[in-house]
Parts: sequence; C-alpha cells; structure tokens
Amino acid sequence: MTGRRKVQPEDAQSSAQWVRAVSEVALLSILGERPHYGLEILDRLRSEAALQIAEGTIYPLLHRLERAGLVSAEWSISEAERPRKYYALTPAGARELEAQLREWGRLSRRLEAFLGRMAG
Amino acid sequence: MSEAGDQRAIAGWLRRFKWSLGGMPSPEREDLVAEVRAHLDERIAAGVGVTEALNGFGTPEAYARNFVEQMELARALTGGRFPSLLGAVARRVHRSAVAAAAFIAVLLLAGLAGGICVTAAVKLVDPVHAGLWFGEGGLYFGREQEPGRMRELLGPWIFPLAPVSVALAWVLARLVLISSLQAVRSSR
Repeated sequence: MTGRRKVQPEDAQSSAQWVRAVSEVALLSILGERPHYGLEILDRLRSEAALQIAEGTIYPLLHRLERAGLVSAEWSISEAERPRKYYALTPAGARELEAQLREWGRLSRRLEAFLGRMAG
Repeated sequence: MSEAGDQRAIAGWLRRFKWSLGGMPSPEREDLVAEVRAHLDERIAAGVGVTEALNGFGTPEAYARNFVEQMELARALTGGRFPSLLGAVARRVHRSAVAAAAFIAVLLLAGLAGGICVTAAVKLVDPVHAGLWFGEGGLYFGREQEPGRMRELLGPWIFPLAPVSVALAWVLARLVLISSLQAVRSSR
C-alpha cells in the first residue's frame, strides 16, 4: 500500500516541541527589531516565519519570557488605537537572542553539511 | 450570531478564563483577561468569527492552566520552600517522567532517613537487636531477631547519624526537586 502514513500522536508531539523551540528564537528576533504586541507577533510568526502556531499559544510564551526577564511588557493606551500590550526585549533578552542565533546557526550549518553529504 | 450574542459569548469565555486564573494575584489576572480581550476584539474587528477566534484559545480552563502552572513553577523555584517544591513536583507526576523520577527519589531519600531515625529510636530501648546489620541477609537498618548471625556495623554511631541522615536527605531531596522543576520549565 502506498497511501500516506497516518499522523501518529508522537509525531504531533515532536512537531509541537520543534515549533515551540523555533517559535522562541523567532519571537525574540521579532522583538529585536522593535517592541510588538501579541497579535502582531503572532501574525508575523505565521506569515514571515511560516510557523502555524495556535492563536492562544503566543501569550503563555510571552509571559514565560517575561517571567524569565527576557522581555518586558507595557500597555499602550491612546485614543488613536486600541489598547495594546507591547513587549520589548530586555538586555538579558538581547543576550539570549544572540546566544540562540549562534546556536541556531551552528546547528543549521551542521545539518546542511550532513544533508549535503547524504545527497552527494 | 448577533452582535449581542457575540459579546455574550466573549464575555462568558472571559469570565470562565478569569475564574480559572483564581490562584493568581488579582492585578496579573486582570492584566491577562484584558490582553486576551484586546486580542479577541481586534481579531473580530478584522472580520474573524467569534467562534473561530475563541476556538484559537481552546477552553478557558485549559488556557488558564498554562498561566497558573507557569506561576506555580516560578513561585516554587523562586521561594525554594520544600513544601511548595514538593507540591509542584507531585502535581506533575502523572504527566512528566522527570517529575515522577524526582518524586520517587525523594520518597526513597525520605524512607532511608526515616528508617535510620526509627532504628536509632528503637536502639534506645533495645540496643541489642537494633542497628545497621551486615551478614547473610545483606545490609539493612532495622531490628534483627538473631543478632548472633549478623554483624552490627554502627553501634552508638547511629545516634549522631540519624540527624545527619535527615539533614542530608533534606538537602539532596531539595536539589532533586529544584533540578526536576527547572527541567520541566525548560521543556515547556
């Protein structure tokens, strides 16, 4: 039989873990540009990083990073726009982003080299 | 759904969400509710249906659990108090192998220290039969019916050893609990 293999629960779990790990570095990168609010981060993660993360996933992640001191949050309330809570990188968050990008680069170079060897 | 129905659905979801965040400090709870409300309002204003917008968050109870658990973990790790650490690990035993292993390790340490203390207490009233025994039956703390066939290794040293074992077990158990909670937190 050549049908597509049914997605197993462990596949979904492993995929969720992968998305979680990538989401964190992608989120920190977005905040590295300028402060963003939750919905804006979510839309950018989906459209620019192609991360299909669930709507509500963003706030537990942001709050965890806030508790860890990597991001800070502040409400912006003005007549011009809706009330929004903006998140910004803290100095510790900037250092963490740098470390995660370094690690990400190292891993992707090794994986690329490995796949190149396998293909060639 | 009518606009009034939409508002009722959102208000109902947010009410259940707020109620499920019951263990959190009030300002933090209000802040979370306001943030989710702002998110939902903005999505709906952009044309997303209420049901679809709410479905993205799941049930309010499950969604609130994310934040309550984060707070509980942070509190236990920041406070470092043994009962909070043990409670936080115990509540995760059924869904985390790390927490289950840590919990078993703590039980073993408590059992060992408790066994030494009980043996020391028994030795006060029955010095001949109680102690750390070694021989055919292996090595164990406790009461030996036939002390002649085994060797008692500690003698009176069991009395100072009892409080030392309690202190050591407490320190080791605390380390195990903290490490396991840190591992659980980093895996979230």
